[in-house]
Amino acid sequence: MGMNEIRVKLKGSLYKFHYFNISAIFISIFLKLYISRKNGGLGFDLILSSSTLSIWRVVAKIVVKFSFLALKMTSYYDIDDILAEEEMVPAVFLQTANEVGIFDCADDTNKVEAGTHVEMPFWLAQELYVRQVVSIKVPPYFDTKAKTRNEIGADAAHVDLRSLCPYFYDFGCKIARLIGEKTIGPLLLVAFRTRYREVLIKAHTAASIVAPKHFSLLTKEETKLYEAGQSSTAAFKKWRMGGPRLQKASVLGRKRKPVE
Amino acid sequence: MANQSDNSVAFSAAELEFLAEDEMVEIVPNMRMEPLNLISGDFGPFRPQIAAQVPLWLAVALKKRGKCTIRPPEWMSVEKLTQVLEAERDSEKFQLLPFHYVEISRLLFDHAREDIPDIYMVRSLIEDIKDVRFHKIGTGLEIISKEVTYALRLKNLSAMEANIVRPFVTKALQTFHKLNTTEAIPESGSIPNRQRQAVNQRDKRVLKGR
Repeated sequence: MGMNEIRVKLKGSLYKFHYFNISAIFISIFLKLYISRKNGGLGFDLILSSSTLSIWRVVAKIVVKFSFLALKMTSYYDIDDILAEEEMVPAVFLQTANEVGIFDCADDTNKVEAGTHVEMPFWLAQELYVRQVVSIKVPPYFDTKAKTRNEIGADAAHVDLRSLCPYFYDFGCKIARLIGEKTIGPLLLVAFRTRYREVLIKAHTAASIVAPKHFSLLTKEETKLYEAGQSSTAAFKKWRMGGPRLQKASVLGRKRKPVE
Repeated sequence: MANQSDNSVAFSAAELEFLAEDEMVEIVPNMRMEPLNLISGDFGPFRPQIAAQVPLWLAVALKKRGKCTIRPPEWMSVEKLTQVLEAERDSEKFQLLPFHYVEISRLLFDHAREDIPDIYMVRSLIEDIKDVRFHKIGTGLEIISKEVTYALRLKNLSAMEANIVRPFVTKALQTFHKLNTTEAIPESGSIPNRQRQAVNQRDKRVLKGR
C-alpha cells in the first residue's frame, strides 16, 4: 500500500521520465531506419528489419499514450480537477470489505457487506471500480430516465446545473469515460451548446452586474468562461476611458513626518 | 504584467498600446535636429516643414514638447472611415484596417487632437466601426455552438479585438473539445433523439481520422 501511494503521488513525474525515455528510443530507431533506407536499405539492424509496420504501430501507440498522459499531467495540480472528483456517486459494493465501516456503520463490525449501497466521492469510487470492488451507478441527474435530461432538452439555459453539480461538465466527462456511459456525452454537449450562447451574450455586454439571477445558475466551468469574457471586456473599457496613464507609487505621495 | 489576472495568455490593453507605439507615422517637425540613431533604426534628419517618418512613440514624445505636428494616417480621414463603416455594415467580412487601429487612434486622440481634422467626426466614426465589428465578433462566436469546430479564423481582426475575445474563446473551445471527445465514446445503443444521433455520426468520423 505504501509503495502504491508513493507511485500515485509521484505519478506525474514518474511517467514523465518513463515516457520521455521510451519515446526518445523510438525516435532514434525511427531515424536510424529512415537513414538506412535512404542509403539503399543496407544498414538494417536485425531487430529493425523484422517489420516496419509493427514499429510504426508501436510508435503510434506511444504517441497516443504520451499525449494522453500529457493531458493527465496538466490536470494533476488543477484545483478544479481535484474538486470535481469530490462529487459523490452512488456505488454498490461487490465484495465484503473490512475496516470501512465508515460507509455503513450500523454496528461495530466495521465492515461493509457485499451488495451494500453507499455514496462515496468519485476519486475513491474510481479506484475501487478499477479494482472491481464496487460498481458505479450514475448520479440521478445523469440518469437516462431522470427529469433533468428532459429539462436540458427543453431549455438548457435555465436549468440550475450549479445546484445539481458545480462541476457538471468535468464530472460528467470523468464518469462517462470511466464507466463507458454513452448517453452522458451528448447530454453534456447539448447542454453546453445552449448555455454557451447565453454566456457569450452576457459576458460581452456592457453592464457587469447584468443578471445575478442568471449567474447563480452557472456551473463553475461556465462561471470561469463568463468571467474570462467579462474581465477582458472590462479591462478594455477601463483602458479606453483613460484614467491616469502613469501611476504614482504610493510611497511618493506621502509627506515626511515632521521630526519631533 | 504583474497585475494581470489568471488569463496570462492575453496582453493587457496597456501592453498592446506599447506594441502599437512602434507603428510609423509621419510628422512635420518645426525644429532642426540631427538624425537619431536608435536600435530600431535611424530617424531623421529633422528639418522644419519637411515631413519625416518616425515611430509613434517618438512622434508623441516630440509632440508633447511642441516640436512637431503629427500627420494623421491616411485611413484616419472622414471619407476613408465612412467608406469602411459602410462596407463593414454591408458585408459579413471584417474590413481591412491597421492591426493596431484602436490603439493608434486612441494615442492620437489623446496627444494630437489639434492635428486631426474633424476630430469629433473621426472619433465617432471609429467608435461606430469598432461597435459594428464587435457585434460581428459576437455573432461569429455563436457559430462555435452550432457545429463541431476546433479552430476559428477571423480575418483582418485587429490586435485589440483579438485580445478581448481571446480568453473567452480559448476557454470555450477547450470545453467544446473536451465534451466532443467525451461524446466520441463509441456508440452501441441507439439514442431516441435525432439531433444527438447526427452529432454522433460526425464524431465517429473524427475517430476514424485518427
